[in-house]
Amino acid sequence: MLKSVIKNVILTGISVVVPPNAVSLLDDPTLYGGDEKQLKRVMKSSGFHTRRVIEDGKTASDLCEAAARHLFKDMNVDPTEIDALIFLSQTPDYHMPATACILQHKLGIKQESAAFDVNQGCAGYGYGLWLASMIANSGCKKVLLLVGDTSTKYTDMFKEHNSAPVFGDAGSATLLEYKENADPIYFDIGTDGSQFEAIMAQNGGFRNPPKPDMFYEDGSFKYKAQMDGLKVMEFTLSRVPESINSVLEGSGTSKDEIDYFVLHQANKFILQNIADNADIPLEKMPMETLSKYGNQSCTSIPGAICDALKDEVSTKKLKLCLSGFGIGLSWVSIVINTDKIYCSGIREL
Amino acid sequence: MKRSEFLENIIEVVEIENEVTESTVLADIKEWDSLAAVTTLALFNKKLGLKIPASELAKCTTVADLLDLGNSQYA
Repeated sequence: MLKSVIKNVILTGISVVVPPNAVSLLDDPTLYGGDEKQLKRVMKSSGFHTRRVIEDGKTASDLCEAAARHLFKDMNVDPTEIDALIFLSQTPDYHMPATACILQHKLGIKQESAAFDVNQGCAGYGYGLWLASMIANSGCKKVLLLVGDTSTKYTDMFKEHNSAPVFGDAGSATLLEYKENADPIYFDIGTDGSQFEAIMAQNGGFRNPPKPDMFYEDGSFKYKAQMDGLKVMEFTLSRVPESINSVLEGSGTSKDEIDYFVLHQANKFILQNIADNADIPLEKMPMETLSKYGNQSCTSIPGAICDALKDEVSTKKLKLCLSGFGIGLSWVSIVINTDKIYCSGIREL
Repeated sequence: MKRSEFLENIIEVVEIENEVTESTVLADIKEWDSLAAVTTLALFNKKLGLKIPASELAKCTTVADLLDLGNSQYA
């Protein structure tokens, strides 16, 4: 796998914002054709219970904007100090222009700055940290990474598959800063595009542009979003433990030295199996966030940090191993040191 | 682990209620869905140390076909 080490950069703050609307799987009597026993079996194994669903007309950039405002205010950062802004999402505001440009203006970030979008999913937070760290190390003093998704908008992911909706909406803001002699950040990155069809939304791009027959009766668009659970599970079990072990080895870190392993909150079952395969103690791996907020896609790592580790990251020096994996198929594992960073917890829009 | 023990494990973890024998067709098991398949994939990995490709699992028609995937590891 690609190994990358970035020096002279520190992560100084994280904030996360979710929509106020909490929806429980138990609220929907149509799931599994009303078979409550089957639904409870799935809930027990997957860990999903409640998720946050954004209202019509609001987007991932609204969640990220709110997260950025909390971060600026609480960390006493003037937006004009930001040299680069990355917006990472699979649910941007428009096909074009890049949502990052709109956010640059809304947030009052100076014109002498870079702003661009990245299309990534569950491995996205790692990609964002990688890019933002490189930019910070290239001479920019402060880089703002905005990572968010409103995956619940891909309504047909579960509509036609007799399965329970598991995604929750969320947006995050992370600040990375240049600091000479900061501890290096270690990355292990991989891609298997041969399995691009394992998770995808086929319609609405330029390969399959919108046509009249791509709409449901209620007017919503058939993105033809789908996930091959079996393929994704097979990928996760083989690649993720390998990637975690690889980044630990590359950084010369033992499992005992890692305070927390914060993984993409795919589902409880997957997390438990990764812990088993990679020999990670369960108490070092937060996995309750998904039951409260759903699978937050690219935002699930900052989501788990803000939900489960707020006090720990705010008051202690920690060594964290992060790992995101999913659509692409893509994976990124990281070893990063944090030192009493700002952490907002999870706030509502 | 014996073949019969592994079957017991599958029945327990997938929470299969009705009686299951080696000749039972997977599609006839009420609880056999994608989650059950994923659970079984993980069981092969955890209990038998086998990384079974999803495509191999998808080829199985009966419980016996499924158990055959672990043939190299049974005691």
